[in-house]
Amino acid sequence: MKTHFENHIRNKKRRKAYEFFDDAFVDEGGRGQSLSVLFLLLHAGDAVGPFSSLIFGHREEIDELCDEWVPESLIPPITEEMPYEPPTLESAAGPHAIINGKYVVNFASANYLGLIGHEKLLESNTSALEKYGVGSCGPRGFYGTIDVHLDCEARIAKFLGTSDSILYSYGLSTMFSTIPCFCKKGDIIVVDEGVHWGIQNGLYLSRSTIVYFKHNDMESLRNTLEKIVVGNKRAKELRRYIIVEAVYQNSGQIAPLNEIIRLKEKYIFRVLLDESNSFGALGRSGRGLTAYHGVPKVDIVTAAMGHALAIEGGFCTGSSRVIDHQRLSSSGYVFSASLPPYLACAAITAIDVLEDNPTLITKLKENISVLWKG
Amino acid sequence: MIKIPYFSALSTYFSFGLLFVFGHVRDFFRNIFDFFHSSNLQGYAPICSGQEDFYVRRYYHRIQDCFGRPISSAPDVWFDIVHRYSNDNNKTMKRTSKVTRCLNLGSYNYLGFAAADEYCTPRVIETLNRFSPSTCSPRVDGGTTTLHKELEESVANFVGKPAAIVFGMGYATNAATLPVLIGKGGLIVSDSLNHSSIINGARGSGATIRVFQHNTPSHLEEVLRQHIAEGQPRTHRPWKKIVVLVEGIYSMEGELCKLPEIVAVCKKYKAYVYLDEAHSIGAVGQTGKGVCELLGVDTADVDVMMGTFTKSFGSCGGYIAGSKELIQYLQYTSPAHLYATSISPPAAQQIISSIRVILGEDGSGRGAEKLARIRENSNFFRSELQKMGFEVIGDYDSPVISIMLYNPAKIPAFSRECLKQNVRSY
Repeated sequence: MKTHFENHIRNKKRRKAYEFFDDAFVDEGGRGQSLSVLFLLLHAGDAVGPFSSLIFGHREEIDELCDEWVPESLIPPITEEMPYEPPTLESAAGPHAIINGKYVVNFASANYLGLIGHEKLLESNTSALEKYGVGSCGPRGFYGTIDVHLDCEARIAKFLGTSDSILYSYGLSTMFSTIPCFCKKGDIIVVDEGVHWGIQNGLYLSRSTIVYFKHNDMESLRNTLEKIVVGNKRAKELRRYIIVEAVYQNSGQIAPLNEIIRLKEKYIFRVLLDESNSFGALGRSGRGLTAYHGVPKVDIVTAAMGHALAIEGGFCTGSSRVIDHQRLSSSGYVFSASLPPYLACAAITAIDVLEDNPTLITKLKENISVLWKG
Repeated sequence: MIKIPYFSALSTYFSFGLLFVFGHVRDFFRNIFDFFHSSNLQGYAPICSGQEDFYVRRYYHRIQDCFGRPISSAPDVWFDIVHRYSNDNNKTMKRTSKVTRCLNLGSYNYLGFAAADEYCTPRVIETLNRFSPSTCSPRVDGGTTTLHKELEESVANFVGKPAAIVFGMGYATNAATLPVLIGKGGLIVSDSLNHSSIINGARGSGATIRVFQHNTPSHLEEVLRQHIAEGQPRTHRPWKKIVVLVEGIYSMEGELCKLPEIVAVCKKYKAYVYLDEAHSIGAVGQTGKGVCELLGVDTADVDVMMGTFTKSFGSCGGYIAGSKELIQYLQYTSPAHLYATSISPPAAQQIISSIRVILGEDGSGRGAEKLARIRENSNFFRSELQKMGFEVIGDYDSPVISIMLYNPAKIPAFSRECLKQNVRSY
């Protein structure tokens, strides 16, 4: 933060330059001013280097303060629980895995449909690896767009019945890139209390006004929306969003989407739905919560593919306007390398398998009911 | 720092100004046109209102065909570019089935691991069959396999640090690690031309952020002196800690970081150094170990070393290397380790295999050959471009070579001319 004195010095230097040009070319007032602006523009990069150290008092004083200052250590001391080692698998994370040489039943992986180890997926992965190698070696804007990415985006859009979709290279980055892309300073976001870290980080980066409502409580949501809209005339000109997860990562509850859609249409809010845990698990052929509740399309749907689809990465889908906007404004898409092509191929195959075998979802439902009974 | 000739500066400002005026004139007519047509927004505020996407609509769309060109083969030395056409003045592009074989000067394939490799690919396919493409869980739940452990040891060994932790995406590595290392009450001093992932991570941490002039250790020293002496804004309490963020090779300028001087300054003022070696790991240095090796800096002096595997290793993901305690702390607190799916096993195997090739552990001399080749190619290309009269920025030995065009109209002209000559750059 610059001190006032520093600002004064800098402004004085600029004012002197301005006055000089104003006096020198003052035959027509307009010409003098435009030349001054031009001069300042051309020298805008010249920083006010030497002033800052001279302003703040003597060098010895600053030396003393710097010597006295003692920083905290980079990390706090290691407690007993920190060196905890998670179990190390010696095989694929399928329904049965091998840990320390023993066969164990795996309840920890989000492999909802058992697609880990599926032969069609392995086959398409192998051919993609032989053709494209592993990495894509570039961001989407600069030769990191491989034809399989475009095919995958079209396939996802076709599967979900939306106009377009966009692929992200990491499930966690999907939400924390999408939210700051649409929600800017001044916008209003109404979000559930129990959302996962990715959404919370995205909310923090967006710098919008955030209002929480009680976890999965529609009465609380209705009251919050009412408070925001009624009595706040400016709210009508701002962009307003409701962010919910279809199946909450932290609590496992399913969001009552039909109620949310009804409230959204009444109070005119856009809905951002995170379908990471419901894509491939709920709805007709795994199309997610919108198909499960039979509601019309939600504005923006994101999902991480690391759950039911058994691959890495994430995607976002919606109208063409929504998707096109993200191609230039979403930082996790623009400033990051694209999804490895073999994973994009695997995504297409996984969706094909999902569409051709609706029995996978019924099997999942049976397993869930067995566990509940037990 | 490059000094721009006055004429270039004036003509560049003039071009931008002209595009600005044209854009506003077109917007004015568009507003009149829209006034007579009903909007289909139905009471919702528009996603981008007014001037927010002015740059995208009036500048970027004019030259959109120069960016985002799809390819239909691996991003190897020669690759196939898919031709696109547009029916609505570059707003949307459609693919055709026509492809052209072009020389690749634009991908981050520094050591040639991008396409199928004779050593790496068979091992990757074997790993794929054994571990499948994903573990479907975060590292703490059930996503740690023996492969991940081997990868972390291999990376720590390669970089020269006691321990390392690996994440599935380079961007998320920065975005999830910086908030954990420093928080409110801390000071982050970041180079002015740092990458977006570092800026996002710094913003997400909640610490106060200050910027120092690009690659200028003397200005860094001034900023540190001033801020340590002043203390936190408003309260003037002493800072909890100070972290200085620099990159090994800056991705847009191709300049090497002045690491020895910056490390000396940080040692003097007790600040921590966070080095992002996204572009330098595997690509510079005698044995490919990055800027520390190239500039003779002891890795023990750099507190946190971060890097990505997308460039030289032909894979995906990022890592943080540091002391054992630092890595244990990150394993306990980093959100990308606790909540995000672990790195894909085939990608992990690609990294392990490519590290072995670089170090020569596969028994052939291919690693040393690749490193020598990238050094010679970049230096040759840079010196030839300078002889031809181009204004090239960046340092010798850096694989990133930037040519200054200045004028916005030259961007599409250069790009389309390169397309005609079957050369791809960006």
